[in-house]
Amino acid sequence: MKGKRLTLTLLFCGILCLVFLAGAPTALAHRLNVFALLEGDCINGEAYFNDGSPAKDSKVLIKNSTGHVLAEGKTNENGQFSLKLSSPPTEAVTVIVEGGVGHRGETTVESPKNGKKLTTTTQVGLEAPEKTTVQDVPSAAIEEIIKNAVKEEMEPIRNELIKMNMELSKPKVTEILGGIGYIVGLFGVAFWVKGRSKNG
Amino acid sequence: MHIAEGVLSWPVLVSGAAIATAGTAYGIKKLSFETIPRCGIVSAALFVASLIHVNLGASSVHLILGGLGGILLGWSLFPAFLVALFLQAVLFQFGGLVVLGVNVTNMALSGVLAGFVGRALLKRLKRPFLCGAISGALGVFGAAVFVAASLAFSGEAFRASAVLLIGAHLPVAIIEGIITGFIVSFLSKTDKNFLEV
Repeated sequence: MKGKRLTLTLLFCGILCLVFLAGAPTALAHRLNVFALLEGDCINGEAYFNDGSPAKDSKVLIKNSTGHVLAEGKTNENGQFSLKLSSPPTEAVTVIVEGGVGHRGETTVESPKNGKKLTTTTQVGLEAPEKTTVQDVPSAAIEEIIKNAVKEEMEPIRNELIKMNMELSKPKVTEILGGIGYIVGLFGVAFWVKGRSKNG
Repeated sequence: MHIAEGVLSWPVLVSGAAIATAGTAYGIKKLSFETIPRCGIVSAALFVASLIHVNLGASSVHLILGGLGGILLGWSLFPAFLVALFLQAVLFQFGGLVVLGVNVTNMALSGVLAGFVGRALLKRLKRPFLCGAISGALGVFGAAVFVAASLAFSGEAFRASAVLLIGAHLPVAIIEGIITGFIVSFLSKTDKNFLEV
């Protein structure tokens, strides 16, 4: 009789568990990692938990150093986000992702300090070879083409960077063993102190 | 269930730190020669338990072991959790040093309370597995409620986060209940006096 009741209880718990799992939207992890890159006046990036799962539908905020919100958005189902700023940032901006129930991650995106100078020099460079076909194409269009080409070329490297970041953010065996060593040492110290106070 | 830096408001952080300090001081005072190694082992188990993620369906879960720690240590669970969470914050950036007090309070206080329930049940019932299982599951739910409460005092809706946290932790509670039940029934067979310290 008792065995039967136990089986029934377990079955009930199992079903409940499945129901909740089907509806559980968030991964509960310890750390939310944010990876972001500035591309033109867009900030693109990814947010993922320390076990590698993406932070879906999470609020993304971009703030400047004074805490003023420059842009706001959400991550997609792969944890990726792309937010457009009204103008390319002139200072470092902070990207904050709020994963809900106590999860929050942030990262700082440095702005290219000589960004403005660079664009002017390219424009000068383009104007220099005068009376060539290049002149007929507006420099803005050329810039766009170059940007797209670079973006395409950079894509694998970018993905590789994200992957590396993900790997780096996982706890390593040496750190875990080191932590256990600390615990053993600490409680050894506790023993020592206790023993001294008993003898002295 | 580590709360990240920058989520909570100052009053919550300060009161969390105060409760954690008081609990840790009391827990250390209660430590004896017999319980120091026990406290160390529990601390190591807490430290490692949350690193092992098990993928269950859509979410990934890990053990908390608060209820088990509460049964084994009582108030001395506070220093055990403090050490484990401090090392996790420093080594893995789980949680953080500013929120350490709140995280320790949430996890340890729920564990201590669940442990008291487990101990009281163990003295009355002759069913160590059941008592351990109840205590283990209670520890997980208690932690979820405490985390939801700390978020609520910082402006998030209590009901929504409590429902989300408890729902997502239901599988953890079941698994942890079973594991705690096994450990407690094993201990009560091998060491009849394990509750006496």
